[in-house]
Order: sequence, then structure tokens, then C-alpha cells
Amino acid sequence: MLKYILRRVLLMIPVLLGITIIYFGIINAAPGGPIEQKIQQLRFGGVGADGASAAGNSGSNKENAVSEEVIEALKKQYGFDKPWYVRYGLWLKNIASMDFGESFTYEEPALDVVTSKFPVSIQFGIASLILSYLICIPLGILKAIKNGTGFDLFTSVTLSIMYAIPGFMLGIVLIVFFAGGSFYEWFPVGELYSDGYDSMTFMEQVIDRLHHFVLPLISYMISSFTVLTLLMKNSLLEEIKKDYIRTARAKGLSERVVYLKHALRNALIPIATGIGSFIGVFLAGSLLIETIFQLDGLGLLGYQSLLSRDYNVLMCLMFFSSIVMLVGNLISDICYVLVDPRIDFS
Amino acid sequence: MVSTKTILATFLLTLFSLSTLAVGNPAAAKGGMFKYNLGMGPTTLNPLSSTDAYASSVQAYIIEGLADRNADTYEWQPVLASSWEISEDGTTYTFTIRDGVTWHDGKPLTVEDVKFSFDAIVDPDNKYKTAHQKPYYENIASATIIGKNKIQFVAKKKYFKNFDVVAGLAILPKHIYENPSKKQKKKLNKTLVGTGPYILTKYKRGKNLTLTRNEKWWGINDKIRAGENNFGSILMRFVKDGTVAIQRLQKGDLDFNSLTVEEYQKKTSGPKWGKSVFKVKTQNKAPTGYGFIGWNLNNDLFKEKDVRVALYHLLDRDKMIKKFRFGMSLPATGPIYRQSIYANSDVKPILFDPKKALKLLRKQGWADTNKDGILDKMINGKRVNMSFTILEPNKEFVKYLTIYKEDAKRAGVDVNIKFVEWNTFIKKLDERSFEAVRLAWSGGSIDWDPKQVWHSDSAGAAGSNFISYKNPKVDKLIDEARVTLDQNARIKILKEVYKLIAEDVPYAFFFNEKYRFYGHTKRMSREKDTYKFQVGLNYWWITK
Repeated sequence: MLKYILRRVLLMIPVLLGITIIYFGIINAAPGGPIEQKIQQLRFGGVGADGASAAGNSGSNKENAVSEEVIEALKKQYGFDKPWYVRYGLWLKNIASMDFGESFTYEEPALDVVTSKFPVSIQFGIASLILSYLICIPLGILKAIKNGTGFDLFTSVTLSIMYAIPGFMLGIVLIVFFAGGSFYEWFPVGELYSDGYDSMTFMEQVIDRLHHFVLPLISYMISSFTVLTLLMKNSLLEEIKKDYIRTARAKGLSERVVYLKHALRNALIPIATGIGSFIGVFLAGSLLIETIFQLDGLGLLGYQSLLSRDYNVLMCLMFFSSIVMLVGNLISDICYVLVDPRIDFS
Repeated sequence: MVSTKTILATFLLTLFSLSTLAVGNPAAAKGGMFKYNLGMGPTTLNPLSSTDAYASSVQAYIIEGLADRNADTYEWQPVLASSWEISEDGTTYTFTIRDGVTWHDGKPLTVEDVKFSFDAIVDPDNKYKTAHQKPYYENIASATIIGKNKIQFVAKKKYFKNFDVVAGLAILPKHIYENPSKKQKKKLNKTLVGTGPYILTKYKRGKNLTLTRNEKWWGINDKIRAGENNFGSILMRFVKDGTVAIQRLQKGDLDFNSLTVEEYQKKTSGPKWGKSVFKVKTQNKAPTGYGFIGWNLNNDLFKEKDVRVALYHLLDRDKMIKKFRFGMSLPATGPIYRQSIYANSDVKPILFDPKKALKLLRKQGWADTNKDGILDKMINGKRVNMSFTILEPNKEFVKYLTIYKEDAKRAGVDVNIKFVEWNTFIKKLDERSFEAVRLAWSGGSIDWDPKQVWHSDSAGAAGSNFISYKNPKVDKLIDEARVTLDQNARIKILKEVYKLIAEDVPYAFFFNEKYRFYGHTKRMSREKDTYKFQVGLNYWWITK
């Protein structure tokens, strides 16, 4: 087993290398780089993708075109006076010492920019991971046991509706109804904590954070219950049809024991393996929900960095999410071994 | 603006702005926390290297220039300079620095700080990452200290905006921004030290920042500034989503929020509106932008003025204003917003008139010879269809072009709309590889200099005259306007430029905004809805 894990970890290195080369190539090939962005800011007042706008009648003593000197200065400022493969080499050399370069927009190390957003996304990631497993597994089991009853039908319909609701839309609706000034003011409108947070006692702080957490978390998770619940239900139903269950029933075991002791363990295999891929969601963040609830997370950062062509931040984000994905896959495979004795990688 | 007549009266004229009218209410209550929506967190606060508008909004409260404009009269008023002299030829500016001004860290402001602020920007090695600011200062040759509190700026050539550039220079503390170590640099991203009316006291990345009134501000005892900067503190939130911002305004989490036409009309009803929150519709002369369709004038289709006029006549702006803009926009008539002092009111908008359009197209030899529903014509021995593609960088705007497309189709003109991502769009503009584009110019500055967009010198690579508009008469007038320091004389010239450009129809101009809209909470008080050139939030105060 250890050997297997080691082999997998070593394999990650060429895979990561491949991913970074491709990614680096793609973002460098995309039209408009950081230099072009800055030049656009000179010419168009820095208004980007959300609308074409420009400082055409700008209040400046600007000559009509950006001079070569300025462009050269910019290129040097951002290290674009070298070809892309040289820059890639430099980037690779630097990440060996965990130096991801400087963010072009934030003017600080890209690593700091990215890690500063981790807490927000991880909070939501962990909370939704725990909650969805806590809710979906029991619900799935219950649905399997009561397969075909009114309860099953009702929950299926509910889950389907939930699945169809876009999270960001729900976010707006929730804010208008439960947090805005129009209907009920039960919750705060976005952000992670209140203005007076610093002067609260620890307990108050916890409650304040939870209070702020409710609406974004609902929006965040609304569509994630369905797949997991139905997966649980169907894999349990699948298991119930098998011979060993018939045997167990023939032995006179109660339905409860049959379901929860015999069938459940095998039915959990597909669920357990999902944990790995779920970890990837930690790092994804959600642009729309973060925008609506004014959460400063990774989704928003990724989107903005893409628009402003902040290469170093993008590479840093990509590097981490690739690692998380690879590690997640490894965890999934290890989970397989743990829950299914028939599988043996060695 | 300084009038040349006065300058002629004396060889050197010192301008004291005691004549300018104080703006705001000197009896306004001081104190209270004003909650303002910045929209988004600034990427970096460093005034030398920051490029985003969010950072400049914050800096405006903390960092000051040498002079600023009166919100009502638009006259220059002294800020960190107590007075200034302008040489007769309009190329030398001598500023006397105000006495007794201190930085937020307690150190006194010196003339050295002013010199440093200029030198840092034009530093040839780009040590302070100021490349983006360099173009603005390209015409200023030097800043020389000529006395204990006097500094002289010399311009390379005469230009009416030289003074604006120098007077607007953000003055920074040399002892903080000069040669920072790596560690200090990082700190400069999140801190700001200036001389201004507010001090940055708290900054929570991604959440909000707090500015507190500077009780040692030089302007507190200045008569002209008596009604300015009344808030005890300003809490800036970063709420990007418009709907959420309105909800927060209703709740009192925000005290002020700009509104779009649509928000003003559709999202400001409910039990609290008119009781604890109010909405305002007002008019002023602050610059606003306009959208347009630009025709690539190097393309054979658009070379004839009659064709451009015809295509303009197919644009049903009245329908669009009614349908999408609640009737609250005006059809634009020319290259700057209609309320501008430089706009020529004699120019009338070219309105929807398909009959006229067809007449003009026929006159130019366009006819549907092959009966396919699209007009065609022989150009250089080839049969060409009246068919073109408009590049559109903003999804929101496609609906306007769709109306245009439908109306044009009925007249035998085949319009295609192609949405392109912004960076690709810019690339296509720079390469001049387009037939027509839809874009918008933002308001920019009150003092209009058309060179960047309309002069043939700007038609080269990376210039903003990407449609290759060339009119020698316009060029000559623009050049003349640039060296005319007297505003009234300049207005005359530029009104002519406005008319000439409008007559050439290089763009199909869309709309000018009639109003501006905002919402505010009940506790906000103000002298009036707007001043002549800005809403004037700086003059509001909070009633307990």
C-alpha cells in the first residue's frame, strides 16, 4: 500500500509539469496579456470586459498613442521582455522555492494573494462537505427503504426542484426576502461578519459568523444534495437485490440489520470515492455567489485575475487546484481500498 | 481656466482664488459615519502604481493635489499650493506651497515632497512602476525647486491642459514612498499617508475600509472649505452587485448608492422608500459617455458620407430609448455629451427615417439587382452586397443592435452582430480588422481635447482613432484648440470641431444621459441635489 501511494505521488510530478506547461501556454496565447491590459488602461481608462468604455475625452495631457518607451518600460516592469518559454523556465525555477512571482494587479506575492482567500472558500467547502454527507446519506438510506412510497416521491420531486435552482438566483431571492429591507430582516446581507465584530466576545463572534453563514451556504449547496442523495439511494437499492442480502434475510435478521449492517457498507463504496473529487470543490469557490454575498473568495479572485490577465495569480491558483485534484484522486483510491477489501492495488 | 487677457494685463499674474465662491453649507453638522459603496476593494492603495478606479476613489479623500476645481464654478482653487503664477507663454508654472500643512504621520509637508511626487512618476528607470502615469506627464519637462516653498514646472510645449496635469499631481510624502524596502513596499499596498481631510484608519481586505476625519487638516480653518468634508468618518463597503447594494441601502448598511435608470424605475419601490430611503433624479454638467457604432472608414462600404448618413437613419433611437431606457436618454448628436460646454447645440440629431435612408442609398447606386432582399452595387468591378458585421464587446448591448438589425433588414441592409470577448475585441481594433464596431467612450474630463479620438495623428497603430477618421480641417482646429489657453476662445473652436465631426458622420452616435440617479438614507442632508459639475457628496452632512 505504501509503495503504491509513493508511486502515485511520484507520478504527480510529470502530470503537474504537463498541466502547468499547457496552462502557461494557453494563457500566454490568449489575446491580451498584462502589458496589453495596462496599455488599454492608458487608452481606455482601464474599463474591461464588463462593458466597453473608455476615456476618450480623457482629462489628461496624453499624446494620441502610447509611446514605445512606455511600452518597453511596462514590459520590463513585468518581465515580458523575454520569450514565453524562458519565462516558464523562470517560473518553474521559482516555484521550487514556493515563489509564484508577484501579482500584477495586487503588487504582492501571488502566493499571498491566493492564500489570503483560502479561509473563505475552505470554510464553505468544509461546511458543505460535512452537511451534505450528514444529510444525504441518511436521506438516501431512508429513500431506499421507503422506495416507491409517497415520501420517496415527495423527496425526489423536492430534490429535482432544488437541483434546478441556480445558486446565485436563489442568493438574490433569499437576500430580498430574508435579509433586505423589503420583507423580513432575519439575516445580514452578505459579508462574513458584522461591522462591530472586533468588539464582540468569542461566543458572540461565533454566533455572528454562523448568522452570516446561513444564506450563502444555502445558496452554495442547494443543488449539491440531489446527486449524492440519489447515488446513495440507488447504490443501496442495487445492493439489496444481491444474493448475500437474500441470505441474510433468510437467516431471519431484522430489516434494520440487513440494511444498515450488511448492505450499507457495500453501498457506501461509490459515495466514499466521491470524497476525493469533493475536495476539489473546496478550491473552486463560486464567482456568482461570492459576488452576491460580498465574500472575498477564490471564485472571484480567479475570475478577476482572468479578466486582468494576472498570469502569476492564475498560475498559482491553477497549481494549487491541480495538486488538490491529484491528491483528491489519490484519497478516493485509498478510500476504495479501505471500504472494499476486494480491491488491492498492490 | 485662466484667461489670457488677464495674463496680458500683467506680465506675470498671481491667482488668488479668494474670489471663488465657497461651496457647501458652512453651518453643516460635523461628525457621524457615512457609509459609502466603493463597489469593489482596491487592488493596491499605492498611489504611484495603482491603476484601478477603486483605489483612486479612496486616494481622493487622503491624498491631495496642488489645486482643485470648484464644484459649481469650475474655477481652480488652492489646495496644497497657496498661490501660483503662470508665465505669459503658458509653459512655466510656479507654485507656492502652503505653510503649516502636515502629513498624517505628523511630519511637515515640504517643497521636496512635491518635487519627489513628480520625479517618481517620470523616473526613467520606472523604479516606482508608474508607466501608466507617464503619458500624462510627457509634456512636462521638469520640476525645479526655486525657493524655500516654491517649485517651478516647465512644459515642453504650450497646451491648455498643462496646468491641469500639474495642479492635479498627487502630492506624496517623500519620506515614505522614496526607495522603500521590500517589506515597506508590501505595507504601502495597504496603507496610505497623505495630507487630506481623511485618514485611513482601518482596512479589512475584501470587506471594508474606514476613513476618519483629519482634525489637523489645513482646510478646517479655510473659509472656502468650511462646508466641505463634514463626516466624522467614512466606511467604504465593497458591494459589487447592484441588487444587493439597493437592499443594503434600504437596510441602512449604506447611506448612498448611485442608481441606474432601470434601478431607479424598477427597484426602488417598497415600504421604506420615501420614508427612510429616498431616490433622487437630477441633472448636471458632469461628463457622461456615449455609445456608438464606428464605421471602418478604410472599408469601401463606408467611404461615402451618404451611405453613413443612410445607415444612421436606420437606427431607431427613439424606439430604443422608449423600450430600454424609460424615455430618459437623449439621442446623441456628436462627439461629446450634449450638456457639455463644448457641444454645439445647432447640430440636430439624425433620426430614424428609412425612406430617407433608401433615397440616399439609391443615390449612391445601391439597388437590389439580384432580388435577394439585400442591396448591392458594383464596386471596382465586383458585385458587393450591403452587408457588414458589427463587433460588440458587451452582451448587454446586443438587444439594441438587434433592433437595428431588424430595421436595417427591411431596408435591404444586412447587419450581423458578433459578440467578442473584450481582449479579442481590442486586438481586432488595433489590427483594424473590423467592418464596424460598437463601443462607448466614457465621459472623461470636462475640458474636452478631441485629439486622442478624432485627430488623424491618432489613426496610427494603437491610437484611439481606430476608424481612421481623417479631416484636415478638423486636425487644424484641434491643434489650434490645444494651444488656446483662453477657455472661451477654445469653446468657439471646439464647437466648430463638434459640428464638422457630426456632419461627417464617422460614428452612429447612440445616446446621452439626461439625468443621474441616486438613492440615499434619511439621515443624509445636503444643500442641493447636485452642483453644476458633480453631485458633491463632499458637501453632504449627517443629521443626528
